[in-house]
Amino acid sequence: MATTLAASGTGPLSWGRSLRVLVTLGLRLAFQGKRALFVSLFLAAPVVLAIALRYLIPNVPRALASSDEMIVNLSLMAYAQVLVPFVCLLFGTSVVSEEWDDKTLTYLFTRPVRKSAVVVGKGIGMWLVSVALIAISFAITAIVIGSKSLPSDFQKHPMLVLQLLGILCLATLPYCALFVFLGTVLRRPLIPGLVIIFGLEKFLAWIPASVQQLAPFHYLRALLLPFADVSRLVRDIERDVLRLTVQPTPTAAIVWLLGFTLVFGALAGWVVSKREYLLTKE
Amino acid sequence: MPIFDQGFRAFEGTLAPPTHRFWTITKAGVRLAMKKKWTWVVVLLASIPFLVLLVTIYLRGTAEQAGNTLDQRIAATARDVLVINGERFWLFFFQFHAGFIVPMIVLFVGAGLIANDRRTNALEIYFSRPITKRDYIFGKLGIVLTFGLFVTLVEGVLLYVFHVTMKGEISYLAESYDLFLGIVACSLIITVPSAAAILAISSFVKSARFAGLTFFGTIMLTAAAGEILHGVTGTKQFWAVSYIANAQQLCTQILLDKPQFDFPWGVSLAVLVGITIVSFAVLWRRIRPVEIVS
Repeated sequence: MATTLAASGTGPLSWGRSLRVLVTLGLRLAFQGKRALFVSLFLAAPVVLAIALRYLIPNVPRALASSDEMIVNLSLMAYAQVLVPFVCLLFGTSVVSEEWDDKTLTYLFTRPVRKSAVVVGKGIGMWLVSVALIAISFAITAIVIGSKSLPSDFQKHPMLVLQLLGILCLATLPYCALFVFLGTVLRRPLIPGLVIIFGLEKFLAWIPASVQQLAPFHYLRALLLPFADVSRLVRDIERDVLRLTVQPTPTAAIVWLLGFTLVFGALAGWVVSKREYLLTKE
Repeated sequence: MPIFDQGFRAFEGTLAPPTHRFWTITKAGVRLAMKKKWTWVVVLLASIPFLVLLVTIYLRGTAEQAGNTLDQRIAATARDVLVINGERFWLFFFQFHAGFIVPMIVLFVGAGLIANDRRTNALEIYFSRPITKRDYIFGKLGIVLTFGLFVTLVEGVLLYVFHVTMKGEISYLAESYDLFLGIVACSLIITVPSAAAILAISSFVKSARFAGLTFFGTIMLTAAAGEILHGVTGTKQFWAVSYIANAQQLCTQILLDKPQFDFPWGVSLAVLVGITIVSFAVLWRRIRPVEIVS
């Protein structure tokens, strides 16, 4: 960090230039250490699962084993529910809270850049890495699944994969913003982050009431479910919940997801610019 | 500023017998964890199912003891609805512990226990004292188990005692001993493998953050894998790959006398015992008094 942001002239760097430098920093930090390797190991799990489904488990009924069915199933159950939020939690919270915990935040904030630019720039860098890793994992999974499909299946497959990939990349936006924000507020955001992903959010998303609208997963699900045969994807009780509630249209879902991103991103920038971070041990 | 020389001094306290030395580590760890306000918050949140079931048992007891003070129809309805049995303990209590609460508690307490010691080179200090590798492992395990078993075993037994007290019949103890044994067994099934696994993962890395994420990510990924395999193959047997499903399978077998999934409960028992044994083997191998730098 210290070498990248050397002051050039007087006054703070322009937003554009600081952003460029900080995005590069975010990208570099994301690949430094074992973080990216660690995330890659988790992202390899769907690939292993795809290999198991395609080559190792015999007698899977044909109707259930079509490429489309499998890839949608994996997108919803593995990527949207677990991996996307998980990867974003790891990268998003590291933007501020890791520097805070390691007591290196002072060095970051003494550079001639706006504090909010630090969060936005590093956040974008981390987000790009998250998207890249998820996209690589998803592409490999799709190739494995598509490698043994019927010719009729295979023709539709690439288009479907691209659409699903687009949705998953879109999903990384609100989650990354949320966890960057959480990292600006809490010194150790891991447990609260996990509670949000695997507790609060899923709880809200499956309550048949308007509180569903507070969960990004609600919109992500609304974008993914049209690709799937709901009767085979979700449990009976979950199907009842889906029947009882109005699902947002794809456009509304995209707008909401982008809205979450803007709100959490703006909150993160605002908190960092206003807050005095104490580096003493809590 | 004066400099005080702290030379060698013979130990003046009482030495604990070798079999109890792990307890020193457990006590110190528990005390340290309880100093953090977040520990209290997490334990309080984890006790929500306990409070809900406590109120349910109270209402049931009140309905039973109502006599003339409560409308008989209301009392009868309450007695029918608020049945306190293994199923109620599963649905209101252990279901949440197996799926979310206990993994979260053990992650909170245990993720940094060995990772932080490795990061700060504290293992050398530990092993310069008269403790063995076994004392260290059991001492650390004791810390995680204290919190894990508090929210399962202690709270479960308290609920059982409260239920028996509300019944007001000593003979009910003989009738419901299987519920008591079920509570004890389910608490151990849910807590021990998780505690061993988090310590094993913690011994692999030097960051509590990575240990916690690996532990919880693995649990959630195996659950997702179970769901996907079930969705694609249409058979519930593949739930056996999920850690949570195995714990649920054993608990439902014990408390409801019927398994939740289409595979023998012995498979779940084997998986959980296997996780525990492998975790201990990993701990035994990874914990070294001296780090050999290659």
